[in-house]
Amino acid sequence: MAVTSSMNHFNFPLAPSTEAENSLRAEVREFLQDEIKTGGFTPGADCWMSESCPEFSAKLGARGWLGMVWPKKYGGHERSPLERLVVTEELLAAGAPVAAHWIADRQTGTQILRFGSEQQRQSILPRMAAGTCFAAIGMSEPQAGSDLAAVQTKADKIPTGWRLSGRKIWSTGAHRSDYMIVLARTSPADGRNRQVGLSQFLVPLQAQGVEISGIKDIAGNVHFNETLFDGVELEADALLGLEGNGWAQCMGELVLERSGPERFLSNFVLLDRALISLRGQLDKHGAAILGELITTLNALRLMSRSIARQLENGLSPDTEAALVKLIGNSFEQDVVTRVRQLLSTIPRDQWPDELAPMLDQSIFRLPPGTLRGGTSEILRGMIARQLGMR
Amino acid sequence: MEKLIEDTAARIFMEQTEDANKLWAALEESGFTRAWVPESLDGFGLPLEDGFELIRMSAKALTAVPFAETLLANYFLATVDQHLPGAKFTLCTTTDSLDNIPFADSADYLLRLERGTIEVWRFNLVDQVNELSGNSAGQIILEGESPVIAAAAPDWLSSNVYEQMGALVRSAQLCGAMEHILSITLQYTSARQQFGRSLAKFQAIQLILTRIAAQTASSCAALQYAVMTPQLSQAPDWIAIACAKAKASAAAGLVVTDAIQAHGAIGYTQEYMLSNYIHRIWRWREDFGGETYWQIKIGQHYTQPDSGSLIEDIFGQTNTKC
Repeated sequence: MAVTSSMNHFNFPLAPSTEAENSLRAEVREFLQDEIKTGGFTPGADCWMSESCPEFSAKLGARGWLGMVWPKKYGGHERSPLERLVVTEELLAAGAPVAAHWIADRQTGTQILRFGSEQQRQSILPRMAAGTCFAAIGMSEPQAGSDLAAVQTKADKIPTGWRLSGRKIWSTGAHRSDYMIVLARTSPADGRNRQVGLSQFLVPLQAQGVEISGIKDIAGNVHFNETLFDGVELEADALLGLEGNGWAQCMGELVLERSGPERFLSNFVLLDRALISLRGQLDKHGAAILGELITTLNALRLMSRSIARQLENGLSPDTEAALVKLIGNSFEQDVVTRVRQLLSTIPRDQWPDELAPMLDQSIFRLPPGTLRGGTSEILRGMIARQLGMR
Repeated sequence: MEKLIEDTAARIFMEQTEDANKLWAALEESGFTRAWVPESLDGFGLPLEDGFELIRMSAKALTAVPFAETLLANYFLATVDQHLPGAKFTLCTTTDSLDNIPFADSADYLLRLERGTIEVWRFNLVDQVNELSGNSAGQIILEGESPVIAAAAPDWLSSNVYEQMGALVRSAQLCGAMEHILSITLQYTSARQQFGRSLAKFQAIQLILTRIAAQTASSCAALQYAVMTPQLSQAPDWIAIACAKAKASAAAGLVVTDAIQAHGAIGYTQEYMLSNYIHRIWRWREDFGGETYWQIKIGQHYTQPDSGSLIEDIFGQTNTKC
């Protein structure tokens, strides 16, 4: 069989980090080290989902490290996506308590910027950038997980706006959030094409008829919820973007949700701690185990940075982004497995201080990594489609 | 890389591959074998990353001449102002052993670094090695009492640098081979019908292809960074190279396994073109250190009592050296 293509399948153009990025990185790192020293926070695994601290979010807002890429007139700072990446990398690597604002800063704010009314932009974005207004995601439902187009939540037009009825699930942080972007059906599907007739709504979670109940995770912690919308009356401008354009908008939101460094840095703190704790104690086999993890981390980090740069240049490296989440989630699980292996020859009571609790935390917190934001199976389907197999 | 250079290279590698003599003549004439030699020494003077892209392309085209070895040997020779026009070179790919030298039957010279001296030797083939390279490797003995060229290497060109640059060359070849295997496997699974539809439509096959894609993509990313780190006539950033070689060597083995699985028994035959890539991968992944060799170096680097911090290296000055 003749294969004529000499083209590279994957391209990861890289760019030198700028002076501005380097000095920003140093500034963020110094701030985080000070915070740790002065008891501002204790580093935690999976911090972007599991470590919520509104006071800390407000501190970041005050320093201009939230809403970094948004326009100044909405409280943003007009920094580049790569500068934002520098900040998110450092926050994740330090295990800082960023969960409160994470979703608002990552996707909800940008969706409001893209599709919200001028009034919504002016009233909400400055508070999100200040780290005082938080958001949750309203996509999954009890009967619509990976098959997102099966959502049954519906919004009916009423004289004053919309009436929203339905149930969203796995809504992380909804219990401490101000807003949720809800994907709901506004008109029937067109035969088998269920992607039509969906719309996005910006829902204030204090509204009457919203009921949020926590769901305990396997460790007994509540970070995600079931959110009930019992005929919630919304004003007309709660419709975000265009009626019927919800699917496309939602896909755009998912790109923001999936492409960041939190998909492989959730337990960087565990790897970093292990390297420090096990210093001088590893044989060659142990060194090889850590070395392998580091090579994968290195590759992921380069891919992620390259993707941010391509996005900045108006490209959409979708395959690459899906690959980063897929490889990154599996890497995060490898970190746990490998650190367990390294510790297996040391009696538990002799494990280095701080490492054991960090490992336990990772074991409890990491399982949803391959589920949230799109399961690995959904991602593989996307990649296969982009490879031309579907 | 400039479009003109890329097009020329693509044409040479794609069109001339059948005839090794013609291919070599074309590579010489184009100046590609002297891509890393400065113009002042009658070379092409291309940036290092461009040379690595040529190597990646040559691997996709299954180039059966010692192009990559010669490119690197000419680079080393130029550091001591030496030039052997038209010569084909081979290198020591495993410490200083002469037992398993690639292109032992077709290269003119061996270039090695011996206690700080760049030595170029003529050699004789003692025994063909029936091994994994696909290209003829063999056991050699050096010819004569002394090397054809012996010159003190510059300070930066240590035996570690010889090994690292070799490892980076092999990483580029491994990436090229993996990319091409991905292409072949996509084409094959799309064309091959079973149960009334193409294999590519089965989720189980898609899983295999996404695994190949993941391994290939992460290897390419590590490579693309590593090739930007060495500066001409300077010791390279060894961690970046170690990461690239460890990743590519480990990935390539997994890619081979998956590619054969997706093909079925045809993938295990000598006749089918996949075998040529597999042979090369099985050799290249070991040359200049396999994955475990480099993983240990990386792991030890970060767990020595006085070692640097991972966060500094991975998120610190990354990408500042190009």
